[in-house]
Amino acid sequence: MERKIVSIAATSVLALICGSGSAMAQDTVLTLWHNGSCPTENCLVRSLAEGFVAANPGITIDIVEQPNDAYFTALLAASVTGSGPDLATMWAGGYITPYKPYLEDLRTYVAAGDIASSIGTSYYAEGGDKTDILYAVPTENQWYNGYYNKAILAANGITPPRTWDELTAACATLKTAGILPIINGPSTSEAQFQPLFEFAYLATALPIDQWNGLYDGTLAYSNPALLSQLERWNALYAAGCINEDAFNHPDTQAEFAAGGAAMYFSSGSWTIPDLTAAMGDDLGIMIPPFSDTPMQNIISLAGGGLVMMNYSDQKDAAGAFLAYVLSDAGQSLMAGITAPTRAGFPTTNPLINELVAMSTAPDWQGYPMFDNFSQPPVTDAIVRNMALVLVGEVSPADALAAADAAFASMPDDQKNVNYGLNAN
Amino acid sequence: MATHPQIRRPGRSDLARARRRAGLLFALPAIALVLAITVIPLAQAIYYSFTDWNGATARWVGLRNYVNMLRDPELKQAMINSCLILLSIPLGMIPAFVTAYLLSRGPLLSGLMRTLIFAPTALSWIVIGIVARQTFANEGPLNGLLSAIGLDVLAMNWLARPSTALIALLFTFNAAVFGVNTVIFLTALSTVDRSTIEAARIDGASETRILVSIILPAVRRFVEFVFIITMVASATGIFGLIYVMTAGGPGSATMTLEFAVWRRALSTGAFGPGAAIGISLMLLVLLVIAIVRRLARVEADA
Repeated sequence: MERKIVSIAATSVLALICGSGSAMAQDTVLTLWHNGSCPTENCLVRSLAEGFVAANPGITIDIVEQPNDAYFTALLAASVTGSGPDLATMWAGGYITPYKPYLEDLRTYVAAGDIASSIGTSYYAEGGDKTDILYAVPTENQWYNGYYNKAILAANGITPPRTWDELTAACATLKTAGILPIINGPSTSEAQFQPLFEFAYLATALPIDQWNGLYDGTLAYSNPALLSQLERWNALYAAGCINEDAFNHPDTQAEFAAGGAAMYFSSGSWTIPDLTAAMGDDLGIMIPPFSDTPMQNIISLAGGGLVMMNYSDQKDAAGAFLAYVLSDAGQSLMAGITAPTRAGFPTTNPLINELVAMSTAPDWQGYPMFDNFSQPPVTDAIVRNMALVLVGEVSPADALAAADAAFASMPDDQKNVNYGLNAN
Repeated sequence: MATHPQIRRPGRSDLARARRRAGLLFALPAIALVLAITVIPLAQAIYYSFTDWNGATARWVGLRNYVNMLRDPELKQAMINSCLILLSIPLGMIPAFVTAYLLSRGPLLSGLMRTLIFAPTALSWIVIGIVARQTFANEGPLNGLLSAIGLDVLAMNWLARPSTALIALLFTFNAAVFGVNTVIFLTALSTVDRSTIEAARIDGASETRILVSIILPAVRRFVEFVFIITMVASATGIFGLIYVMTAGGPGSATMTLEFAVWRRALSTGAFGPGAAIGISLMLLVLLVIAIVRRLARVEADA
């Protein structure tokens, strides 16, 4: 009798453990770090997560919003200690370099055909080779671009300027009408505005193959073309075309959306949803016209990517999500929001389609996002000094010299890069 | 020939040995904790400061990180800024001492004043930084006040100009520590022997004479204490303030050595150079403390 009771009890316990074990295997929670806010109603990564979760019951994705300006330092610190998330958002080029020791090779999880057909995977593959280690799956194509208020420009008889001269003329007309021509400043709670977007367009004065020279040191940042561009940029500010407190004006994007200025350059395509919601049909896309001839350069990249940390203990589930992102289902979902990286999934967003049209036009030259390939010390020097160039606190020559000094201070292995950028 | 009885040293008794052993055993957890969170990380930092550690691999580079500190213009600026903050501390202590002195002489409303003065101490550096950034903004209350009293010429974008951003930071820092320093000085003044002061008054000494010859010497140790804790706070405790207020900018105008550790180590992944900056900062703080203690000892001996 006693032996029977013990065996029944043991069987019950065994059944309980097996049952709970299988229940635990189904209840998988993936942690995903997102740089910046990811609101419920307007966040691509959240939409992708919801689509995946709906198709995979038993797996949930917990999106953790990290402050944008401290995101990469937080992720690096967490990776060094192995306490980071399963998944994380990531940027391409130089941003991903410090994290390579902590990233899983995604070729194990993502279909080879999907990798090959995505134009963004080359930016996240070792050496730009899609058949080599894949560190991240791209989520969307992004652009650096400017915006204009259609109503304001139309009311003043102005078409979106495409050259320095047209911009200067538009500025004069708008100032006469009492309208701030260009608004600049941080878009979030940062201490200064981000000059990288405008610096990238200023640098398109150089042919794209000369950007290779900037990255590998064969072309100094202190060159006549960049010097001239920065001087003209500062001249806009000196002429009163840009708000006086451009360096740290708060809530810049919101003020533009509210009609506080005619044009806004320090931004990119990721703000289209927010600006469209605020401005509706009054929102227009333009490329900062930092050119003597009609601007036909456009800066785009696989803006965001998703990585799997190699210290995750839920790699199968994490890999399944990343595979979903590049799958037909994921790309179709993305097309309803923004521009996917695989061809064959046209977007329904008209403003994104304008950018796609510019990017694919044969007479336009595509450039990558400059800071995705510049080395971190150089990027840091550009961020710190170029913002001061605009407001006249640092001369263009000194700012460019600081970038050269930052390059010179790096060890050789950081200098020896070869991205092979070429014209279309 | 007389013999001296053998004197047993107390430490050698069984009881004393047992007590020492028990004391050591009781102290072991605390010792282990201090080793784990202080000594071992410090030793690691010292080691990594001589490497090119990027968080994953570390290669010995000798003194390169320290030499580069002397060549890097940004780090040189950070050292200058740290020294300027240090030099501002004595100036910042004067209002706190004067306020404490006045409060100690006036019993009326002193309790309310003490509360109002000390209340901001409860705020975090982040909150203080946010408030300061709004205050010094181009359309902030400071410029509004200056315009209202006819000083438009002084209204400017304080935090956008390298020449004024550091001044704004120095002012904010010293204003933030004003409360706690005032309270410490109040405590100091309460320890001064009143009978000595009364005797001096009876002898016809002026208030200034009393302050200089009686009160200040009596509270010398408190002055030293306030200087040291304020100095340590300025060197190692205001990262949050700088990050929120100016992010070390414009340019490197408000970067301190403490901020440079974060920027180098975590912002660019250069943990080895970041460790070198951290070790240098620690040595600088210890040097200043040693100098202050030495000066205090010389004065006491005099």
